[in-house]
Amino acid sequence: MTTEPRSVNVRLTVNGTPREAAVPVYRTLVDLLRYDLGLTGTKEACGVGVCGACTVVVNGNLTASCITLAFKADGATVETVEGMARDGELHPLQASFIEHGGFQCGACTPGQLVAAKALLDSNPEPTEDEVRRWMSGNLCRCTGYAQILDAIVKATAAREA
Amino acid sequence: MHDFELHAPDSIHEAVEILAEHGGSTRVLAGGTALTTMVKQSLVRPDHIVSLHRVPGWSHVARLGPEINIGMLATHRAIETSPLIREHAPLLADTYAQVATVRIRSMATVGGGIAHGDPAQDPLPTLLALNARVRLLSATGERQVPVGDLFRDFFDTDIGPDELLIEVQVPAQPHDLEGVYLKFLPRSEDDYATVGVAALARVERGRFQEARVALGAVGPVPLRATAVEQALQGRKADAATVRKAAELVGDLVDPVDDARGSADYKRDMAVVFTRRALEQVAGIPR
Amino acid sequence: MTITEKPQQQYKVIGTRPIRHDGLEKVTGRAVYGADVKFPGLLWGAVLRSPHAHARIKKLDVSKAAKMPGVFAVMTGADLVDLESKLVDMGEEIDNLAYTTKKLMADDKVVYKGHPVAAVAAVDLNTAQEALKLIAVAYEPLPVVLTVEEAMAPGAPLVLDDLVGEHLTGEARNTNIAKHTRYEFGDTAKGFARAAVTVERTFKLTMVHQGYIEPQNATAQWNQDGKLTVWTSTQGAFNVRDAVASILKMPESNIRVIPLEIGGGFGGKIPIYLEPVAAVLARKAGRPVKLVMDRKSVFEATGPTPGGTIRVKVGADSAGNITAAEADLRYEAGAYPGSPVGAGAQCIFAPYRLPNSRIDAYDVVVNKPKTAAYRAPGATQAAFAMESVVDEVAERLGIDPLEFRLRNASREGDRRADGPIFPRIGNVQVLQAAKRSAQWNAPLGAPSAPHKKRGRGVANGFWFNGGMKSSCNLAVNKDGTVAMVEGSVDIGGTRASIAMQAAEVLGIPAEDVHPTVGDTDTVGQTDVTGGSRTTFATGYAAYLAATNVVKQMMGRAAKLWEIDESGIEFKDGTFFSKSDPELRLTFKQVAEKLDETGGPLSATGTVNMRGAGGAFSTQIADVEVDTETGKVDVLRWTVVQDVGKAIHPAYVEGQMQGGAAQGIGWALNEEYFWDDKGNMHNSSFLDYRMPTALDLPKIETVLVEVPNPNHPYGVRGVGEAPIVAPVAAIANALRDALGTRFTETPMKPSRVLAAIKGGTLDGAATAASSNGASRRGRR
Repeated sequence: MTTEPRSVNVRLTVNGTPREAAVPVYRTLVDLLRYDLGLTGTKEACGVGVCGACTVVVNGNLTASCITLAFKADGATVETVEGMARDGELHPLQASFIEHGGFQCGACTPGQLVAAKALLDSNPEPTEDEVRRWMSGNLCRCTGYAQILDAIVKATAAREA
Repeated sequence: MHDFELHAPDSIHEAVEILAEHGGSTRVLAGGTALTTMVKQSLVRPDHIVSLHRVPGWSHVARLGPEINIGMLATHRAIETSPLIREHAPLLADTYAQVATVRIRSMATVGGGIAHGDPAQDPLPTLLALNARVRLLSATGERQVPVGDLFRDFFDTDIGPDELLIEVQVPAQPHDLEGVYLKFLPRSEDDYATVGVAALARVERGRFQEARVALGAVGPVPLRATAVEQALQGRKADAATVRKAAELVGDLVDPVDDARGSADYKRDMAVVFTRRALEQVAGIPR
Repeated sequence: MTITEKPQQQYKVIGTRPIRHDGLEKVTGRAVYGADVKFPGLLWGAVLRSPHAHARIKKLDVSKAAKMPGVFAVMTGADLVDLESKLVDMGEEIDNLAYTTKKLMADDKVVYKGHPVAAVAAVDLNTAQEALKLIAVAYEPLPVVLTVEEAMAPGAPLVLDDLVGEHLTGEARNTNIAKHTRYEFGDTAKGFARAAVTVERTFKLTMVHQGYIEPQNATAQWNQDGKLTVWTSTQGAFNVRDAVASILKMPESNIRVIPLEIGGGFGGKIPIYLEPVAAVLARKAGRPVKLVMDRKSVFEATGPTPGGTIRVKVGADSAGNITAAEADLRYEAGAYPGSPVGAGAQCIFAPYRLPNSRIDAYDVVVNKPKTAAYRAPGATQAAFAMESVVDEVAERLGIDPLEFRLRNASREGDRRADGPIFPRIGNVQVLQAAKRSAQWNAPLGAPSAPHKKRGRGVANGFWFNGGMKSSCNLAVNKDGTVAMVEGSVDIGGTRASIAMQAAEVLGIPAEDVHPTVGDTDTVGQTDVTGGSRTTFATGYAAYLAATNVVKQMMGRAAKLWEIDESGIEFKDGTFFSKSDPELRLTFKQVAEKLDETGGPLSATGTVNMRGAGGAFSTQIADVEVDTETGKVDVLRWTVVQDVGKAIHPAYVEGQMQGGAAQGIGWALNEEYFWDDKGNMHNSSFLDYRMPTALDLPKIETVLVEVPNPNHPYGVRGVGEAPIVAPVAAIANALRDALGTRFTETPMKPSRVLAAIKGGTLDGAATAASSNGASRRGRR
C-alpha cells in the first residue's frame, strides 16, 4: 500500500490555454479537468464511457474523459464546454439549446454541446438522421431528446442563415 | 483506482522490451476504452501499464499488396471513415461503424479492440470472415496469427504477455463478394451486440459460389460457422437453403444467460440473424 | 398543440416562451452542481457497502483503515444514535425515523446488497477507497426474500426483526408486510353479478431506476461556532436540513443546507443518503468532507421504484358501463417500509367512475434497496394493470377503447375510489382531445416487412399533483427589475416558470425578474421539488409576493402624486390615477423613485397549498414488432394531458416528452436484473440501458388547458402524470399487434418472442376476440 502514488506531469492545452498539473498516475482526464484545473463544466455520471456527460474533444477526437487516463493527454489539445463561447459570444449551439429548451436539469448538457459541436465541425449540414445517430452517444434522462435534436437542427439552420 | 507503474515507450521495440521485463502483471493501454473501464471497476489490477500514447505512427491504413494493413493504433472511427477501407473492404467499414457510439469509436483502437478478447466486440466476426491476420511482436521476434486462431476464452487470447499486437492484415474484399454485418440490439441502440453476424457471399447463376459466416457475442470466442458455409457451398441461393443452413448455427454457439437475454433466446437469435445476413448478401427477397 | 377549454384571460407573460434565467450558466458549464464544490482542506469520503443482500454483521474492525496514512476519519453505524419511531413527511414519501439511521449505515444487520457499513474520509478519493479495503467485516449470510410472494409466504425469513406491521387486524409482528390498507366502496360482489363481461388478470413488475444523470453527492463543513453547512444535490433543501437535524440531534437552525444545481432526480433525490455521513465524517476529521456516489452505488443503494404484483378485476355491463372493480396491489418496499403502494392504490381507479370498488394495498419489505419516489410513484405500475384490463373489457364488449374510457370517465363531483371527491378535472377533455389527435386519426400503416406487425395502443393515467409549503421573496431594484429568491430547487426550468408568474403580476418582462434558488437560511420553508408542485405552489407564493409588491408600489406612486392610494389603478405594468389621466408611471418609473418614497421595497409570499388539481395524461402508442426477434420499435407517440395552464408551454412539452420517454424505457427494456441471492447484475450503464436518441420517436404533445380553480393562473402540476400511462399503452399496442396480452415488465424482446412462439399467453382472454383489428373501424 503506497500513500504517495506515483505522479506524472501533464502539460496540455485546454481551450487554447497551456495548462500543467502534476497528478497521480491513475488520475482520469475528467478528474484532471475538474479537480486539478477547476473546469467543472465537464461531468462524470456513469464512469464507464456510456452516457456522454464527460465528453470532451482531445486532439480533434471526441473523447470520454471519464475513461481516459490523464497522462494520455500530455501534449494534447483539449476542448471542453468552457471553451465553446468565444469573446463573450455563445456558440450557435449554446444559443440554440437555450432558445429551444435543449435541456432540463442541465447535467448532460455540456456533453451534448461538445458532441454536437464536433458533429457540426465535421459535418456542417447533417440530416436529422445523422444528428440522431451521432447524438445517440449522449444520454439525456429528462427530455426524451426531442428538444435537444430540435436545438441542434435549428443551430445548423442558424449557421447557414 | 489503484496505483500502478506507468511505462510510456517511444517505440514498439521499447514497448516489447518492457513487456519482456514485466510480463504477466502488465497491461497494454491503447485507446483505453476497455482497460480504463476495467481498472476503474477493479476488474483488473495491473502493476504495470504500458501506454502507447507516445508511440509515433502505427495508426496507418494502407494497401501495400493484396492485403490492407491497419496499424494497431488506428481508431475504429478511422476505419469507419477511411476511403481506402470503404473501397477495398466495405464490410469492415460498415462493421466498425456499428460499434458503440461515435465517441467510443473515436477512442478505441483496432489493435486494442482485438487484443481485449471480448467476444461481443463487433469487428471480430467480420475480421474472421475476411480471413484477417494479426502481427504479434515480442522482444524475441514476430509471428503472424490468423484472427481465427487468436481467441481462447472470454477475454483470453493467444497473445503472450510479452507480445504486442502491432498490425492487422485484412485481405481485400473482392468486389463481387457481398458482405454484411448485422448486430442485434434488443435494448438500446448504443448497447453491445447481443448477437453479431458477419456474412459474405458470392452468388453466380443462382448458386452460392462462396459463403462465409462468422458470429460474435454468442459464446466465449467469436466463431467461424464453417458448417453453415459448407451447407451453402454450391447450393441454390434460395430461402429454403439459407434457412436450413442457418439452423446449423444453433449447435455451434454457446451463449450465456444475462440481462441481454437467456442462452436459448440468444441461440435462436443467432439463427435468425445468420439467416437474415445470408438472405441479404445473397439477394434473397423476404 | 394546445387546446384551451374556453377563451381565457389574456396574459402578457404566462403562456409565452422566454428563455431560462439559468440557461447561460448551464450551456457554458458554469452552473455549479454538487460534485463541483471545492474548499481548502477538502477531504473525500468513500462508503463501504455490504456485498450481501441479507447478513448479520459478526465483526466490524476499522482500526487498520483508521491508521492508514492519509485517512482522517472513519465512521460506522455506531456513530449514529438510534432514533425513536416517528413518521416524517419527506414530501412524496413518509419516512419512519426509527429506520433512518439504520438505512444510512447498518447496525448489526445488512438488509440489501449495497447497504452502507462504514465510511472513510481521506486526503483524496483514491486513498479513501483503498482504506475501505482495510476494513474487516465478518458477515453471517442469512436467507434472502426478493419478491412479494416470497416475503408474504408463511414462514418467510424476516427482513426486519423488529418490524411492527400495520394490518387490517391491528399491529402484527414477525411479518414482512409493513402495511395493509383497504379502500372499499359499494358492493363489488353485486357489481360483478351485474356484469356482462368480467376480466381478471395478475401483473408482475420489476424494479427500475430513475436514471438521473448526476449521481448523489454531499459536502459538509462545520464552522467554529458549531454550525453545520451542507452542500448537496437534493430535491428539497429543507427536508435535508430537518432530517440531518434529527439524525445528529441538533437544532435545525444550526444547519444550513445549500442546494446546488441538481442533475435530475425524478423523486430519487428526495431521500437522504450521504449528507449525515459527510457531516459525521467532517466533524470527526475537523475538515470539510465531500462524498460523491459512483453509478454502481446509485443503482444498488439509492431508491429505485418497486416491482411487485398487481391483480385487477373489472366488470362491465353490456352497455359498456363499469359495474365493479377490484385491485390487489403488492409492492416491494425494499428493505424498509415505505413503497409507493399507497399512491398506486389511490391512483389505480382514478380515471373511472365506479359504483362499486375495493382496493387492497400491501407494503412488503424484501432484501432489495429501499424504494423511493419515481415520477408519479406507484401509479405507473397500477396503470399498467388497470389500463390493460380496461382495454380488454372494452375489446370484449366491442367498444372502441377511447370511447369506453370516455363512457366511464371520472368527472368533477365523482368520488374517487379511495374517498376524495374530484374537484374540477380534465379527464373527459383529455380523452376527447386524444380522440381528435392527429395520431389517433392517422392510419397505422402497413408493416415495414412481412415478418413485422404493427399495433396501436392507448392508455390513460392519473396523478394527484402536490401542494405543500413554498416561499418566495421579492425585492425591487431601482432599475425596475426584481430580485427573486425562491425555495424550490430548479430541476427543469422552474426558475423561469415561477419568475414568469411574478412578472405577470408586476407587468414586467420575465427577463426582468431575476430568480435565485435560496438555501435554508435565505428563504422560508419550502418543500421538495416533487409531486409536480413547484410551478403550482412556489409559483403561487411568487404570485402572492408580487401582488404585495404591487400594493406597496401603489403606495409609493400615491406618495409621488400626493393622492390617496385608493385613487390608483395598476394595469399592464403601469400605475394610473383614476381621476387624472396625466398621472401615469410605469413599474420602472416608480422603482426609480424608491429612495424618495420610503426606501427599499420587498415582499414575501408563503403558501401551504392544497387543491393542486389532479392531472390526466392519455397516451397513444404506435409500435412495430419484429415477430422473429420480439423487438418492439416505437413508431409514433402522442401525449395528451390536462395541464391546467401551461405557464411556459415549451417546458410543459418537455416534461410530457421526458415522462413518456422514461415510461417507454420502463415498458420495453429497463429492469434490475437479479440473481437469487439478491445481487443486481446490471448495475452500470454498460448493462442497464436507457433509451438513446435513436430509440425514441419525436414524442408529440397535446396540451389540454382545463384551468385549476385553486390557482390564480389555473396551474396544475405537469411533471409526473406523463409517466403513468406509457407502460400500459405499449402493452395495449402489443395486444393490438400480436393478439397477446402482456402482463409482465419489461416487455423485452425475449419475452415478446416467447409469447409469439407460444401463441397467446392466455387462451381464455383472446377467445372472445381473435384479432384486435376487428374493432378498429377507424383505420
